[in-house]
Amino acid sequence: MTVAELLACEVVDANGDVVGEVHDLRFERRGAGAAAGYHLHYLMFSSGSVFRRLGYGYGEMKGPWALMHALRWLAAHRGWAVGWEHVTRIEGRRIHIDMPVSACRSILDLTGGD
Amino acid sequence: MSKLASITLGILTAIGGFLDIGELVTGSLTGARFGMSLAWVVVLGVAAIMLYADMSGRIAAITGRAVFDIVRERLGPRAGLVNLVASFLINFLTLAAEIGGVALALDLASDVSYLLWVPLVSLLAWVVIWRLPYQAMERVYGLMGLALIVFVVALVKLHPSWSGLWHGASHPTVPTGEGHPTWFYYAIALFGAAITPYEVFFFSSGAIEEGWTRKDLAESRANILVGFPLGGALTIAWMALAAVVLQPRGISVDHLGQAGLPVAFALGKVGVAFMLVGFFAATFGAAMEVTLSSGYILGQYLGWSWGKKLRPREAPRFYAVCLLVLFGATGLVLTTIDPVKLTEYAVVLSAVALPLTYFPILVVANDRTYLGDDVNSWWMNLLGTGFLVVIVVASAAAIPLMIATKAGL
Amino acid sequence: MTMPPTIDIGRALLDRLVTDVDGRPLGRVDDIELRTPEAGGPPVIEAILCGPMALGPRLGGRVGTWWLSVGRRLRPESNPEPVRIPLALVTELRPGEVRLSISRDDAGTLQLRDWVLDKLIAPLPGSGVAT
Repeated sequence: MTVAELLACEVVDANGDVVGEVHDLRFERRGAGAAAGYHLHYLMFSSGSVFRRLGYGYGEMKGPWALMHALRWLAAHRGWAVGWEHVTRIEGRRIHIDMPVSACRSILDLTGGD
Repeated sequence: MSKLASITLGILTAIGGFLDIGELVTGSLTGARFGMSLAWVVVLGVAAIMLYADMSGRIAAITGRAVFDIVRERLGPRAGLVNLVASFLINFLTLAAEIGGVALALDLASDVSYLLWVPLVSLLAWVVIWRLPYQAMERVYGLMGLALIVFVVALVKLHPSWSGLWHGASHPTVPTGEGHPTWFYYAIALFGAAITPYEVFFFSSGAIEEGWTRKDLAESRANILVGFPLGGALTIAWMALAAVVLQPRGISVDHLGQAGLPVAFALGKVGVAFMLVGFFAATFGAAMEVTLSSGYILGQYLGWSWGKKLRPREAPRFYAVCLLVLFGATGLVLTTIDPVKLTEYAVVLSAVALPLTYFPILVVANDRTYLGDDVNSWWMNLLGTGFLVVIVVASAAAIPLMIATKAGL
Repeated sequence: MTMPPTIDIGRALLDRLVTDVDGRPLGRVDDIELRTPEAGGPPVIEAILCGPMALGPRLGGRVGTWWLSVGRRLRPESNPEPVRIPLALVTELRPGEVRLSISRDDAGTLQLRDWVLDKLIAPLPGSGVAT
């Protein structure tokens, strides 16, 4: 599998609704020494934002003011993160998760955008 | 070389480097048709290119990333590719126009048809790119381009009504007999000529070629703050010459020779000689910048080794792209396509493609992971956002206006 | 080894420039290969993928297909796989850059470069290539 097969997939939540598209993946380093590896931890998905890749979910982005606030708002209200363990199945370009979108974390919890 | 000499040289180079076939054609053309009523566009364009050149130079000096690096990473491969194709096409048209401009200058100087000059010009451009060191190349044509100061001398010699010129520039109105769409179409052309995409490609990639670091930023700012406005001032003087000499006589500019009439009128043969040297240097220098830019952007999008400081065997793909683009553009000029018309299309299409280049620059110029404390200040963002809005509007309006006015007829 | 505790691939890895131990470019991170452990658990980053064979699918559509066919021609051993660079060879993630511990000559991403060098650049006078 490659990340291209996960990115831009639609996310379907426990209610059966399409709630967004995967726009980034968080990996976490686990293990030590030669056994250390980066494990897929969260899928980040969002809806309604065309500028997903610009980095505005992150606290390091400092402007321009209007753009930053608009995209931050989208990240806060239309961006979610869901743990990989909540993925139940992947069908083609659709990823099903076992919880409703309302129970997912906000993306800003992960990326430190505040 | 002392610091002061180096800065002076940099500024002089920036003046010559700003002017190219785009300004020479659109400046004269608009002056002859609309007087000084579009001078404000040059001011706006100069301000925009200053700001975005500063941002792209700062990103390059601090992170070592050039413009198309950040286009690819922030827009992703698909939108990045759209921008790459569009920018490449515009570069191609611009290069053909510049080569045509060099050949026309030689034609005017020699009475030998420009078409015979075209292959020689391209060959010379190739030899310079292939063999001449980077800074020598930039400085030789930059300094020769200063011959264009003859525009100012000619204007002074003509004793124009300065208050009349100022009034025309400060109270822009569409001249009677001209429609608003045409006026705005040429405003976009003039704007596109000032901020044509290759300028930021070349500025940021050139910063990396010259090995800029954070401590070179003050010098780069000096070049930008003095060089670009002086280049803009020469453009306005050039426009004013057309407004003073050509507009009252109803002469329209369909050929570079007509654009040169005011200088001949004011200063005779010596003036024309200076002007042609300036034309040659400005267009030839730009031809090389555009050629290199084509290699820069493709190399950056795909992650190649690129740069003129590398020898051909160290960056073969980069040199191959430069060679092929130069070859293709030469072919396009040799079809006898009108270089003046070609310039008009290139500068208008520049305006269309610009948002996809300027937007990622503005975004990365605000990323602290990349720039630390050297991110944009609030006023840079205010201006940068303002210019971006102008650019987006110009971009959206360019094609409809081109169709509505039949490309400015 | 200055690798971070977490990586958001879109923010720090994907589409970034890949440079070798001497800082020379060798391509971009066109895709990332994941391995699903046999014992279960989440997928793990295995390698970064470079070249047209990796970029083609991401471009999608007709352009992507065309890009793939270019890539196939560039792989003389008729190997349809993209160039893999194991993540273990990555030493550092810098802004916009992924630094490796190997020389780019050993990475296998330079077929097009070598072809252009041999066929186009070397024959030209003054190329600095001994023929």
